[in-house]
Amino acid sequence: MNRVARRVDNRESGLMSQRDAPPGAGEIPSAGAASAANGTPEGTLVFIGASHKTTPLQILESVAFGPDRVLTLLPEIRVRLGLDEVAVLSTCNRTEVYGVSTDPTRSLRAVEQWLLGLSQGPSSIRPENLIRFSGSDVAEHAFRVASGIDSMIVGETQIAGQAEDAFRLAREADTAGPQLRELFAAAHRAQRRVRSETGIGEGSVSMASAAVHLARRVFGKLDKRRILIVGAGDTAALAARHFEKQNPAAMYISNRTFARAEDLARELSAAAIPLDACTSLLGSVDVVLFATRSPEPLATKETVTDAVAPRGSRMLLLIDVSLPRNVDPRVSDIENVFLHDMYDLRQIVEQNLARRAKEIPAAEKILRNELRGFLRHRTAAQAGPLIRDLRERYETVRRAEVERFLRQFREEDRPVVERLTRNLVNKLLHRPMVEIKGLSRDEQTQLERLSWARSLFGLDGIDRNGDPEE
Amino acid sequence: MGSVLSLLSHLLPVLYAAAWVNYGVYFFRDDPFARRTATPFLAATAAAHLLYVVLLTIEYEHHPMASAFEVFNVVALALVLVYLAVEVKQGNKSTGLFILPVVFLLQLASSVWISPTRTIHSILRDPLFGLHTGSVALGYAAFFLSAVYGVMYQMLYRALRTKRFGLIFERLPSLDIMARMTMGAALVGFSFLTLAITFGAAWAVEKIPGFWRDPKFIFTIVVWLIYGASLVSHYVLRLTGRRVVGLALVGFIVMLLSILSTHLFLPGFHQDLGG
Repeated sequence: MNRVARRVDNRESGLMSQRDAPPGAGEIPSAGAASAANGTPEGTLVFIGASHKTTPLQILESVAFGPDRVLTLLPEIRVRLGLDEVAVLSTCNRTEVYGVSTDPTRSLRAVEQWLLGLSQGPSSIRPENLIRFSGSDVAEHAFRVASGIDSMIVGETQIAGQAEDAFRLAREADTAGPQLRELFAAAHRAQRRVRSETGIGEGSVSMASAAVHLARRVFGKLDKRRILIVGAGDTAALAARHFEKQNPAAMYISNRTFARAEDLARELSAAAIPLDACTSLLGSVDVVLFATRSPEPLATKETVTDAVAPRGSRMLLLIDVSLPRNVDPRVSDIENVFLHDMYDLRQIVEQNLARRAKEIPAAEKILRNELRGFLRHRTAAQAGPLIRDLRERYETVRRAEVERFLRQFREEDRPVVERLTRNLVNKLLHRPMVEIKGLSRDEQTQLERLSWARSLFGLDGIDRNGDPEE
Repeated sequence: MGSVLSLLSHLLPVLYAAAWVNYGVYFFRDDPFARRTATPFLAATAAAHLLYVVLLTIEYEHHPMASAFEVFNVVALALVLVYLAVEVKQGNKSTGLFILPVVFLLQLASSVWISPTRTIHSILRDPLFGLHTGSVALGYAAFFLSAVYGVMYQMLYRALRTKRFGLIFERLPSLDIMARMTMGAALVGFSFLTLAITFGAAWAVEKIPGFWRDPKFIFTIVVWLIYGASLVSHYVLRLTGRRVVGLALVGFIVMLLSILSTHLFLPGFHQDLGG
């Protein structure tokens, strides 16, 4: 068992000082040590976090952590804030703390205080930015996040990998135990089902990917096509990177400032060409994307007509995302030349987003199904030891009483007595067993019920091996 | 065997209708069940159809193309087989919705009106005639596929031009693939039509003097020339795009007109033989 003491600069991390820490906090046991010992989930799942839905992005930035920082913070968060297990998911759209605690109310308050203390000033995070869950709601939220339903762009796939990274970091920091492992594994399963059984991740939802999609609708695979990107700014670079992933036969970057074209071309293994050479290339390339700030049109109908004449009936796709537009709209009259602008790309993106949104009810149905399975498994895991203890206690009492009175029965009647008492115990225990196994959506209530049942049946004094302590 | 033939004859139109609905559900809703089952279900239906044609041939002891409705039956099967091959090769099943209604109608007409007979004109038992009609069936099926792909090409071309990014834009194969499918199917059709003309002429040269004056033969040569021109434009002159696809469509329209007019208005030896 890992009992290595780890210390960090508390001023930097914003955590309680060593002096304020509860006794024994200097030593950090590995995550889920208590529960791992007996195979029983002891604590409740807790969650607190802020996302793009509750918090403006400039505020969210104040509580965003890189992987290295998360790795440093995790052990401290766990011990100082009273969590048995903890993982942190921090992306540009959310910072979320997933934990396991035997005292959820206290732990949630502690984590909230810690998050609020991380930033100061007008851009600091406020209590109303934070959302809090405990019990099964944590699992439901984790499933929604991993499957992309909760994302700014519904159905985006990156979040699934980021959730896996969050768990990986927690494991590396030794703050992930059996409960979080189970939670993240279930979230992973749920998101895989959602992505394979619904269309929530389908369709291009960014301008750059919509441009590639448009090109693929005309040419199919782009591996034998030649692409020209006119411009070297952020938009052009983003589009160029998307096109580059399609492995085109050739790619050219052109820009008024030639050095910038060269820089981008070098990054993408493309060829840089001067801006005034663009027109001559129109005869040989298949896709041209314009993304410049040129106030004058770079391609008029006349220049394009002349340039495409040698290409015969081969199709040419022009995508103009510049403002003001770089391509004369009359170019779309030329046969086999397709001209599309930013509004067309936006239309594609909006249609795809609407299509993804329509898939949410189907995805939620899958998540409900997965959540039921997850809760059933947890309930069984939580109730199992109690049921075992209860059976053993009743069996011990039964056996003792039978042995006490057995001599008063004839030899041939003894098996009947054995069977009768056994049946009696089973029948008396049937109803309590059903109640104990009963599924409760509220995990805290479930744990309280189990604790009450343990006390009601006088099992508090029994250790996990089923032996009375006295 | 008669009861099996009767059962298959009634069952096939129903199966093709079900396959069509399944492809429709896939196209419009992208339903996972339809996505998973469309191709296997159609393949199973095609297998049943093939069995039907084989049993028909064994039972009536002649190739099952002695009447127009028998031809419909074989053309429907040829269409499905060629379509399945193209679907598997292109990895795109969104065109099934447009092909299957015609397969269904051909098979329905064949099942309702077919009346196979053991007594056919003796010259129709000639193996060369069998090769001729078999090539015609495959050629027509390929031309039909080429026409469907050509129409879809025009639809997608128009969607891109008019910036309508709906189902046509999202579901159909790319414009470039549609052009290749159109011209590829036209090439297959042209090859079979060439064989059909060759076998037919070789068979008719002695048996039917002056066969070249038959209206169907003349129309077929016109169709052959139009498709030939469009194929030369595409494969030799390297022309692509709307006009070449359009020329292939013209070939198909002339072919349809030739079938209709020669059956309805222009008598010739093809009518006399039941073709």
